[in-house]
Amino acid sequence: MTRVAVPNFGNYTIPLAASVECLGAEPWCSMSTPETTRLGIEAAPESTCLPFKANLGHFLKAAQEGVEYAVMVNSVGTCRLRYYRDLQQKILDRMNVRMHIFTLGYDGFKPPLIRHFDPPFRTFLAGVARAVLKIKVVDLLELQAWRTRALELHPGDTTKLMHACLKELEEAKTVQEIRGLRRAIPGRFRAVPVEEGREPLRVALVGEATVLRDKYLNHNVEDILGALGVQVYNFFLLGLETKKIFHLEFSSRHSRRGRLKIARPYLKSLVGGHAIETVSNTIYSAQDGYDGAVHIYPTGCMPEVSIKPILSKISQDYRLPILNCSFDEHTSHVGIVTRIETFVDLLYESKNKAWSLTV
Amino acid sequence: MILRTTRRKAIRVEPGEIGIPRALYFFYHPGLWESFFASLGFTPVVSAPTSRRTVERAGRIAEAEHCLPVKLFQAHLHELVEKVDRVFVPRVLSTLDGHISCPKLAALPDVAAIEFEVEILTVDIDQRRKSLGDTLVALARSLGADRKTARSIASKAVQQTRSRPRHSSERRPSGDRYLILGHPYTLGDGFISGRVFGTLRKLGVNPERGILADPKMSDSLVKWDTMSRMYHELESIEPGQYAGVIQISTFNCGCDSMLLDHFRSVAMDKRIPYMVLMFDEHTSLGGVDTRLEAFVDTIRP
Repeated sequence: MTRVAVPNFGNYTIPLAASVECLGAEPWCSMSTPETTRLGIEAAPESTCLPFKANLGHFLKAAQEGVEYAVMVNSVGTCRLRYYRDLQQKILDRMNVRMHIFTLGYDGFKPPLIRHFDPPFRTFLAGVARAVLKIKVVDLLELQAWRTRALELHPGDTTKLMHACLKELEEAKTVQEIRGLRRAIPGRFRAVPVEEGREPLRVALVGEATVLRDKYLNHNVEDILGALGVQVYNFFLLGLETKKIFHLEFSSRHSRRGRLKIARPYLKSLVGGHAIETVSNTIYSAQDGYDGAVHIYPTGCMPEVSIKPILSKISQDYRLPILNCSFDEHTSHVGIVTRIETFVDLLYESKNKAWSLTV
Repeated sequence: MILRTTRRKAIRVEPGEIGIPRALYFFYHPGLWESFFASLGFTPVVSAPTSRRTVERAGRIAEAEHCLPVKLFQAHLHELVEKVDRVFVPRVLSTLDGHISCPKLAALPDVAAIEFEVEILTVDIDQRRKSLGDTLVALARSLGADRKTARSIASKAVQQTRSRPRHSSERRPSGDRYLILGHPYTLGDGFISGRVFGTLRKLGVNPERGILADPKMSDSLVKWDTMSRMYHELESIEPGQYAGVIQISTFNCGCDSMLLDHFRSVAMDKRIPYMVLMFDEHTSLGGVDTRLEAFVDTIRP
């Protein structure tokens, strides 16, 4: 069967892989590793953003393993993401790597991707249904894990359970299996022994999507915060994002219009990338009573860097502490851990909470 | 506070002094905004040309991860705020039909309003939807001019942008021709590119700047407006027309980081020597001279 490489998108790589199955092809995916990142850094122009390098490295690794096709999202926005596919293709061609990267964009009636593979209609629909369900399951898993990890009595329990569930999800082949898993998840997380009666700090994670989701690129910020007894909320949930892209969300704060409305006092235009999301989510988290926010973005990210002054203004106006963390290939893990620990210390201090941690 | 012009709402502002930072969009159409505001009865105050002191100020106040032009913009604004209490900061979304501008320009008015205690007069410049002339008419109308005056002011301003010569540098009869590529705001800012032009002239060659012209654009993968101008300039070079191409880039420029490698391959296909000079606030001008001398020496027959 033809193999198709899918971009790495943290835990959402699993639904992405499932969506490739709807083409009647076999997905190739893996998590980012130092090796794939190194491949990308060597091949990419020096000052491109980290997601570009990671993604390119990922595809190069796939090509080394004999995969000839890849899929990449296609943005129509103003940020660098718009050029990812075309430039990656050019770089691969120049390196004499045999790989064709498909976009999801339209070209006539059918996207070229579907025209090329031309899957039977039933395979296609079943694949799409599985992918959508898997996205929902990952969303649910994430929500459960963020809540449980902050309160777990034995450090690592939640992460272990999360990995087990993800593995199961990856292997689930039928809609019934996925539905069953989805029903079982809340019970499994309830079974994790937690500290009763403690109200954890709540910290919002906002910023650029790839770095927010890819746990290797962001040095596993969610786990670092969780281990410090903080309940995180990562504002990039693919389920909501997909709804936004397909205009299925009309008036809530997740819709395009809702976000613009929330961000309006500070930002009156779409800047590109996820800038408007970052601004509106930060305002939302301040209004919702979060104790702090961590702004995560790749170094030099055009939209996110442009709105940094806006975030500091929001921070002042709403008295919401915000930690800016920019990530590139030289970011030191220990540095990130130290900064986050200090940030959390300050949050505890400002909340006058007793320092009771199980670390 | 942001004064934003829309079709429905006129802004009631008394004509007075208006600050125009000598950075970014100022260089897209040099002279346009001064003459436009002057003919509306305002007194335009343009910040002084970039100097070492501006760069130091930029380093002090600007966001560390921005590119040099945006940092300089902030410094120019900072300088103006000390002099005037109203500044013009348009939101540049596109300056070319079918293209988009760098995303950093889209957040400028909002960020300026947050960082400085000053009235910001702004207008959306989006030439995908509205020509520059129409934008100017709307702006003039919302500033209180009647329809006829607004039209004549706008058409005069647009005429003036068109009548600019394509290559501003004087050409000497002998010497190799070198094409200098860059964004309007890097080529226009004497602090960034002035040394390049000066040194090349001293070396006895003719530097020529591209980009200000509006060539017929074919569809290409390059969607950023200024990058697209550079790309088409580069694409349209005939063999032997230029001895070399010098690309002026600034550190952490997102557009350049993506596309310069592509430009290099275009130049390589045409067998034209291509060099990238990267500028930031720490660039040593002596180093620039050395690189230019070496580049010219290797090309010179």
